[in-house]
Formats: sequence, C-alpha cells, structure tokens
Amino acid sequence: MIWAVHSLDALTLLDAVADSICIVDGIWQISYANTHAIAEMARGTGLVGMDLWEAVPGIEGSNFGEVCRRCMADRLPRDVEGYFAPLGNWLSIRAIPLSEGLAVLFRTITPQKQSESALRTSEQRFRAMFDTLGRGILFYDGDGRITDANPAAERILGFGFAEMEGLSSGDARWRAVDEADNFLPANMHPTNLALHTGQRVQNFIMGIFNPILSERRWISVDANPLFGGEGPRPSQVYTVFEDITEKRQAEYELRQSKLHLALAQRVASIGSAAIDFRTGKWDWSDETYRIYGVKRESFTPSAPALASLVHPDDRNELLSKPALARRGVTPPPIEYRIKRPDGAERILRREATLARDDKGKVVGIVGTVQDVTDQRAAQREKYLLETQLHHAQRLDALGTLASGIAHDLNNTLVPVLALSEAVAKSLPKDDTRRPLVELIHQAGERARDLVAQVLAFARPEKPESRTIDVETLLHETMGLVRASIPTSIEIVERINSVSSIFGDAGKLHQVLVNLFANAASAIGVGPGKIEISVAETYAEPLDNPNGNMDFCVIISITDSGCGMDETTQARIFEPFFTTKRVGAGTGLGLSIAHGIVAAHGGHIRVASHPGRGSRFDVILPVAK
Amino acid sequence: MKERVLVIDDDEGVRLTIQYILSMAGHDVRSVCDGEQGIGAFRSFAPDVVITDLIMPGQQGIEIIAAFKKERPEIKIIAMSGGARPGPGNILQSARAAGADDILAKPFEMNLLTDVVRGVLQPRLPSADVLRRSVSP
Repeated sequence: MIWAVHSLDALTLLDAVADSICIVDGIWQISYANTHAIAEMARGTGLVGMDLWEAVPGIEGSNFGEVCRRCMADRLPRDVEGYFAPLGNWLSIRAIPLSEGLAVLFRTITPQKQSESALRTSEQRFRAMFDTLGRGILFYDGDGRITDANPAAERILGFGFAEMEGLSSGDARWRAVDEADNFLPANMHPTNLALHTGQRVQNFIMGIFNPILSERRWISVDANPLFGGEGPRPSQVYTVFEDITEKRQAEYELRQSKLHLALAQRVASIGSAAIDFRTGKWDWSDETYRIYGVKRESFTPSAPALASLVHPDDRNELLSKPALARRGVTPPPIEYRIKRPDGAERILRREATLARDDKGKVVGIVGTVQDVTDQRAAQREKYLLETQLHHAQRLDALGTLASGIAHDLNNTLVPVLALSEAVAKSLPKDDTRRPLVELIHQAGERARDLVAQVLAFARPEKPESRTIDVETLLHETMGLVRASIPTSIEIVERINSVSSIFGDAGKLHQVLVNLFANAASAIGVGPGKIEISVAETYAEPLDNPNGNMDFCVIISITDSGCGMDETTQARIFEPFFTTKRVGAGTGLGLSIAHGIVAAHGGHIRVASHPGRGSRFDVILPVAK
Repeated sequence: MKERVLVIDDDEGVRLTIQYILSMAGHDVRSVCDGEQGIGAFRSFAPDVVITDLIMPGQQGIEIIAAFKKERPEIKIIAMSGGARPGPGNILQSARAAGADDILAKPFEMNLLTDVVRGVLQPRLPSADVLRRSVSP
C-alpha cells in the first residue's frame, strides 16, 4: 500500500537522516526512497514503484536479501553488515518491520571498514612486536596497576601475567631496590613517577627479585605516560625495560678489572704507557704518573714534558726510541734516571713493544715503566756483600791454612832452637864453630817470630781493652814513624781530638807503623807526601762488613805513591801477598794489620788508583 | 834419685830434643809418639812428670791430661803446643783448666824447658812466666 498521507515535514525529516532509507510493501514494491537512497542507487526518482529485487540487482541471494526476507517473514528487526559487490562498497543494513512491509535503512561503511582493517593490522603488528620483543613491556592503568604484560616481561620479572595482573609497581613481591642496592619505596618507582609527574622516566636502573631464577636481576626501565582520558593526569603508563644484569656484571667486572690493574701496577710499582702515532697522543696509567712524581691534572705527557724529567745524560737515548719504533724496530728495554719535581732521583726501567693495526702497520708503542731504584740499590749491596763475603772466606781459608803450617813449623823449630842452644853451650867459648851454631839459633828465632805473626793473622788475639786517646796514639805513632821515613817524603799531620776508642795501643801502633811503611815504600825515593788525618763519623752499613759499628773514628793515611790497581787491592790483605821484590817484604804486614783491626771490631778500607796514590782508612768503633 | 819424665809427642824432632835436653839435665826420660803408648808407659814407667803435646793424631792431649790426673792426681803434667798463642781462650789455657801444672809453647829455648820441668817438680819455687818468655814481641 502506498502511504496515503505524506506530511511534508516527515519527508523532510527522512531526507535529513544520514542513512539511505527505502520502504517496501508486503509484495516488495518500493513505496518510498529518500534522497540518499536514490543517490546511493544512482536510480533517480524512478525507484518508487519498482520491485526491490529488480531495483537493486544482486541483492537477491545476498546476505542483505536474506535479512530482508526473514524480517518480512518473522516481523523481527535485523541488522547485517557486509561487502556488497554490485555496489563495490561495504554496507550496513537494518531491516525494520512496518505494519505492512519493511523499512530498509542502509549506509555505506567502506571508510570505517577500511580504517578498522588498518587498525586491526596495526594492532596485529603491535601485538606481534609486543609478544616477541626482547624488552619487557608492562601496561599500567591510571591507578598504577598492571593491565598487560608481554612474554619478555614475564621472563625478565619471573612472574606470569596472571600473577602480575592488578599488581602495583610498588608491590612488595618485586623486592625492588635502587641502583645502590637500597630499598626502593613505591613512590620512587619509575611507573609511579611517570604517573604522578606525567613525565617520561628514562634509563631508571633498579633491581628486582626474579622468583623463577631465584636471584636478583637488574633492569633498566623507561616509563611512558599515556594521556587518553580526561584531565591532565595520565590515564595509563607503560614501561619498557631490559634485563641488564649481565651487562651490569660485565661493567662491574670491567671496573674491577681496571681497579685490579691499577692496584697491581701500584703494588708492583709498574706503570703502563702508550704512544699512539696516529694521534700523537700519550697515555699514562695512574701508576706511571706516580712513578714520575707528577699529577695527571697538571702534567700532560709528551716528549718535551718527559725530557724535562729525565736525566740529561739519558735523555737522548730514551727519546730516540719512538723514532726507531716508527721504523718497526722494537725498542729494547732501557733504564734511565729521572729527577722528580720533588727532587727525588730514581732509576726507571722501560720495556716496550710495538702496537700494530690490523694490517700490521706500526701505530704506536705500548710499554711498562718500572721504578727499579730499590732493586738496583739492593743488587749493588748484594754484590758488595758477596764480594766482601768472598773476600772474608778467602782470608778465613788462608788463615786456617796458615795456622796449620804454623803448627808444623813450630814443631820443626823445637830442635832448631833448643838444640842449637844446647850445642852452643857445649862448645868452648873460643870455639870457632860457636858463632855458626848461634847463627842457626838466631835463624830459628826469626823463623819463630815469623810463625807467631802468621798466627796473629790466623787467629787474632783479643786485644787488651783499654781506653785509648786517639790523638795521643797518633802522636806516639808519628814519633816512631818519622825517623824511619826518608826526608824526601813530606809528612803532613792533621791530627785533632776525637772520641776515645777501646783497644790495644801497642797493636794499633803496629798497624799504623805498617801502613806508614807501605806508604813510604809506594813513594820510593820520593819526593812525595804522606798525610795522616783523623775524623769521626757515622759508618754506613756498607762500610761495615762486621755489622757492629755506629760512631767510628777513621784514621786515614794517604800517600802520593804509585797506587794500586783493583786486582792488587783485592789481595793486599792476604798473607804472603806482596808487591815488593822477593826478600824485601814478607807479605804479612797488611794481613796482620787486618787481623788486629778486625779484633778491635773495625776494618781497613782502601781507596787507590794506579799512579794516583792510595788512602788507607782504619775504621775503629768509638768507645761506649 | 832421678826424676822420671815421660814425653808424648807425634813429632820425632820434638821428642828427641826434649829427651836430649832433659837427660843432660839429669832426668830419666822416656818418649812415646801417641796417647795410647803414653798410657802404657804412664803405668809401666811410672813417671814423675808427663810432658804431652796437645794436638796429635788419635787421642788428644786434653783427654790424656784428664785421664792421667784421674788415675794419679799427684802426677805433674806439662802441656805443650805449637798451634797456640797466649791469651784467653787458647788451647794451652784449656789444658791448664783441664789440670796441666804448666804449659809450654813451641818452639822453646832449652833453658825454658828445664826451668818449667824444675818448676813443676819444686812447686815452692816461683813459677816461670812461661808465656811471656815463650813469645817474642
């Protein structure tokens, strides 16, 4: 039935509706189509009165046709959406039963469908990323409660989403700590910071306890507020975080490693240094700075800067090395002296190797710097001690040998001395043989005295210990000596008062007279000069093989004679060693002097050079 | 009656010298070359004086002195050595400590030997300062 009454207003209203509207009667004849419907169908006004199935080709058999038929049959309103191929559009149709027939409302929803599809694709992509990303992602609602979590978040945190859902970031189950391992209060969590401030929080380092791994894991968190709701407060926050436990451990280990290296360098007193030829830059370790006695803040290492620290004599050699290295020559180890800014002089040892790039081209030097001052001093001391020990051992062995010989000689001399005396007595006073026998006796006596001297060297007697005034001792000695020294030799006395010593004045006279005799002998017929002087000093341990001196008197006898080479100096204290011609000396004088001075707790030191004379220092401990 | 003197020394020259000088001085002298023979002679010869070297192969003089003094405390013993010098801690001083009545450093003058022997046999006489006289300055 065609509507009998059409109010103009009603028609105007139907045209104003955004949807297309067709009204069909009970036999599918179109009784009304609004302007949208006419435009949509592109049918002009001819639509009214047409059969619906004819007016809309392709509707027959489609979802849309089916919906209309059912609505007509059961009188229930129905909706359907779908792609309608004949129109090439997505349509949304609503069939509404009327008292007679149907009202069919439809509209094109293609743009919505397209954006929905795009949104779906986007969401799928997002979901795929969300699910597969290595970083953990958590979504929080405006109250800071978890609403979503990706698998990475579950893995990193050690909680399933089901366990996490609804938890706040301040929940005690996280066992959250800050970077310094202190308890992290809820309001300081990055999620809450982002929620409360509306600001993005980046690279927030925190520790959480992962219950699955049963260990602390460190995470770096970015928290991003999302604004979707009303008001200035974020409606959501999502956090993106990564597990930095291994990275942090590696960084920690690197730091530790650097620290250990620095400590090792400190302990070993070995610094490291590098020169990069490409940049010309020098790189010194902390220990290297310390070794050179300069500060990193105020000293920039470079060739001229280094030169200012190095001893002038060692400068050229040290600074020539980089040029050699540039030509591919590995610098040999070098030792050189430096003077630190504080004035301390040190000996450094540098060992270096070439640094090469991938192609084998020399691009720099890398090396170590070691302060070897103490080692060198110790080595020198050891060498001296060894030399002294060796010397002492040799003297000791000679002493043992000498005492053995002396013992046998003394036995041998018993008949010589005693029987020559007996024979001499048995001869008449005027017997011409008597002087001959007395000669034998005298020779025996000389031999006996010689043996006694050897024994004095071998086993020095403990000297009488009386306090001796050194000045008096020396004046007495000079009284003995002057008469025996040729007048062509000038004698200079620099005798002054020093501390007293303990000992046997007679024995010490013997030592000094012997040294004067040697000095005169070294000068020969002269002219020449012998000087005797006395001083008091604190003897260094190196001067002191016996190790029991501190304050000492040094009596020095210096001559302008022929001097001695080192080989001779090394042997002068050995018994029977002599530089004099055969028969001119026994070679016992200095060995006996050595024995006497040693028995006084002192020693004799010699300084000499061929052609430049000799100086003998008799070093004796001061009486306490 | 002649005093009997037993000489113990491994050096023949020393033995013969002492034997000659002391015989000339009127003593009855017997000499042996080591401690073992010395013990035998000490018992069979029954000397009044024993002059023993201190440093010998085998039994040492110090032990001989101790053994003889233990067996016959009145025996006079003179210790002698060529390897010692006077002063504290030397071997002749040790011999004195072990019981020697006097000591004699080798080599010695004829008169010193006879003086020392006479000295131990006549203890009332002042003892010779053997050390000073046995060593030249």
